[in-house]
Amino acid sequence: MSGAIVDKDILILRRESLMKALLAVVLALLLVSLAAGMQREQVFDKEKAAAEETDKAVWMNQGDRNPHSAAHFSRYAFRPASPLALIDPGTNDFAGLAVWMEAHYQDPAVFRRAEDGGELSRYTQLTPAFLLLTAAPLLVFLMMSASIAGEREDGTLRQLLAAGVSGREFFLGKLWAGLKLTIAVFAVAFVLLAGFALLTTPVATDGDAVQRLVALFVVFLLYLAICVAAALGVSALFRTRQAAFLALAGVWVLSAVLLPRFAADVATSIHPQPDAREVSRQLGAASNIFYTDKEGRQQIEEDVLREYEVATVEELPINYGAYLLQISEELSIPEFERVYSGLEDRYSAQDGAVRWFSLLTPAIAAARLSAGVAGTDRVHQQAFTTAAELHRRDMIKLLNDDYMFNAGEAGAAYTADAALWEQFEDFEHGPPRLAAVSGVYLNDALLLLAWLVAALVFARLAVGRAIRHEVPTA
Amino acid sequence: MSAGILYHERLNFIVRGPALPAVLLIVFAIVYAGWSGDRWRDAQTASLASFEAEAFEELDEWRDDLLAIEEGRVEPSPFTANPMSILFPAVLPPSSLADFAVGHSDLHPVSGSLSTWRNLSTVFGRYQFDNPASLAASAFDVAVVVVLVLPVLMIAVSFDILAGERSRGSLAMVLSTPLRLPRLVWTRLLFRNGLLWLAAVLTMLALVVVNDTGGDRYARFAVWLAVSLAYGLFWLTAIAFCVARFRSATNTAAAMVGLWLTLALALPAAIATLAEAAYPTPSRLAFLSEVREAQGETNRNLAKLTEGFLMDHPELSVGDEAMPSYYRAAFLSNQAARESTRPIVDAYDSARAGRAQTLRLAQYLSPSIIAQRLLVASAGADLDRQHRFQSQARVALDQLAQEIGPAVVSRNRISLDEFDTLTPFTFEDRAAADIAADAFVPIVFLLVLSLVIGTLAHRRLDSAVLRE
Repeated sequence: MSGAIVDKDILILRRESLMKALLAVVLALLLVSLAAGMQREQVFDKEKAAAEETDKAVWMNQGDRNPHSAAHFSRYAFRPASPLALIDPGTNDFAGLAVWMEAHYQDPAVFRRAEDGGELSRYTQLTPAFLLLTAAPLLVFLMMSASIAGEREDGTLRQLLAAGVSGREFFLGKLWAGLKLTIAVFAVAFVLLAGFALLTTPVATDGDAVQRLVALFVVFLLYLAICVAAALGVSALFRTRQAAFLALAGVWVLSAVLLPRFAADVATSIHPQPDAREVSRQLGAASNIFYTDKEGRQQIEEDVLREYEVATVEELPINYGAYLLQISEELSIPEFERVYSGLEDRYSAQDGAVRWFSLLTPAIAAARLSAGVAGTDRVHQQAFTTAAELHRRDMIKLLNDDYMFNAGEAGAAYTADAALWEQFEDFEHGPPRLAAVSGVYLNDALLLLAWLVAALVFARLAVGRAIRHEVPTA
Repeated sequence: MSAGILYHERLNFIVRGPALPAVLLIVFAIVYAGWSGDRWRDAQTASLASFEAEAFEELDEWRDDLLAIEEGRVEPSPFTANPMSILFPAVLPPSSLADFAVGHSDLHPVSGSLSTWRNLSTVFGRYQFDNPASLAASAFDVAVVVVLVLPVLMIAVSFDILAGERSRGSLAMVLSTPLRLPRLVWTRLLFRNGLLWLAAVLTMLALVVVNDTGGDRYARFAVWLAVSLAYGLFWLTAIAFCVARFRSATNTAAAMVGLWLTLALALPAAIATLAEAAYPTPSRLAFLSEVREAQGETNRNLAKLTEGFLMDHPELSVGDEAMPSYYRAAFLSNQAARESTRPIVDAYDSARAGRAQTLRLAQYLSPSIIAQRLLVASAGADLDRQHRFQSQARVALDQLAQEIGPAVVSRNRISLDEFDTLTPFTFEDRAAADIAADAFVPIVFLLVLSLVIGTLAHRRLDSAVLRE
């Protein structure tokens, strides 16, 4: 019997011209967003490749130069392409895409693509993820609003129950009808997205990209299943299509459009964004820690003289100036780590505050998971900046060591040539594999699962209540 | 007759209906957004004030050093009162209505250091420390409440305006009285939405007064209010049209929500995407590469460049040879970087102008785009204001380089008189009257559009009597 309910519901939905029109609009927008995403990512890949090439050429062609002077000029580390950024660009556009690996200073990532956005870019962005997380639930809610309320309004629920349909069969039939149609439409859309992603993403050939695609499919599927179950439950709470539709429209506006924005705003009100000038000042102080510690410098001199068993710095077999440059780098490292870890704490506090709002809407957990799985969230950005900083430390040490051990009599006039510049390795960093960072997303995944269970329980209880209201003896 | 309708509305809408929750929701949303915006504006104002104060204090010290050298009170060192150490702060102060919209102002630099140690890629310093996830989510400001939330609440309180009569089958009976259907619908619509808008406008007015920081706040708010009311009028007539066009409340609501989705979210997103694709800005990475190539080139040819510069300025005599050569090198390489990146900056400006022009035309496809653009502009949080700041700062940096460059390259100091002629940076903001002038045509368009839709709705309602 539940099969008949499924077939009937799907037939009715297929006849709805308004639904078809909205579905067509959303699918058309999906194609536009996909094409725009593809174009953006391809352009970015080309720009990044050109910038890397120029950066290397400028570095190699700098001529003979003191290694420390070269360390000030240094090179840039560029963020790798995110595996599925064309589906969900996440925070990519709002995070810097290049880190200057200069001496004495741990720079933040700079050049945020969002700064090149147009006038409406802060208002709304058209991406496949936006459509699946924001517009698709509206379609599901429209589709499901009459599911139970319509049967109650038309009096057909009583007829069905009188014909021997059990409450369980009725619930499962209605749920499956919604899920079947949703999954069918979503699967077509997702196959389209996945096909484009696999064909156009350079890193899509390895197993990680496939794992990410599968995980992304599961995230969206779970989210839409929550929407179907919640819509079924809300529909069961009302006796008329009109009331059920209005309630679901309200739920959609609140949960998919306003709450995610409101949550982020509340989080930054409780934990304000860092004052850039203050952070710059702290980084400057960290960079100068060696130069502002006169006693420390004295101690370092005594230590190095003792280590090399000489009486004066002039007798040292190494260039003392270069030695101090390297020491200053090493002393600054924990200070830089302290400043950036303070920033990270603040970001985590903001993210934590947003996560509380996940209890009010599944859209927040779904969006976080989507960006995480696509490799475009803060976790992946931080992996890039951390790798860039480690590379900076190694390469600056390489230059300082060359100066320290090879300057000899030339002292500050010492210059190195392309043979040394060649040893400055290119920055090569791939995004972390999904399996390696999956633990970070456990809370959000559990939240989404909890939402699914809660939505199913709510729907079952609401349908049971509707049946009891229609047939008090049932 | 209207008094009778209003009596029933009072009973059905205020006492039993959704009026109170809707009004409370809109008041809460505006108060929260205003509070959040005010905190953000205050923090930014304080940070900028402290930056300026510190920079001017250092400039005063620099001037005292120069005075002491000119009066022969101290033995000059190459580092004392060196022209390369002059740093003028450039700040973009929040506008007087900044608490109403965050817009683009949380993403772009709002301060810069005008110093010849800087080039176009470094003049705004390091400012990219914000949590990208928070930036990506965008702010919940008063503009969002007006553009997105208010239409939704208008739909929520209006979509079932004839549903009661239609479901009870009493509409035909009502219409057999002298009461005209258009009058019934308009009175109800105006009553329900009037309450909502009255609450919204009074709350916004309260914010304007409570968070007043002077300046042209009231003039900007006048533009804000005019745009908001015109936008609200559009939605009122659009709702009336949907009520007239669709018989069932469900279809009316579905059409309205679909219209909202299309006008407020989908069209702005699609237009923004197309405009950005049609007018791509030059790559920031290409800009970076250009800067680095120019700097590398300068470092390799420093002696030749210095000679060339001094030949261009035969009036200069070479000064203190003890002055470190990297001062001169930094100045020349930054100047070279400025020159070589100028075409890229011009291309940026050209792409931005193309996008702005596209949007000025495309805004007429969606009243939500008009409202978003004009509200953010009247709050001084628009992209154009950010670009004007960046552009003015670039020009000021060029002027400073021209004025002190000869002294730096020839290793001389500038005189106290020359220093006193240098002008600190002041951002030239747009006057509220300019913003109002730009808003005039779009507001008139909204009013005309509302009039047309309202007339169509009225006619349809008038002829609906026969259908009923």
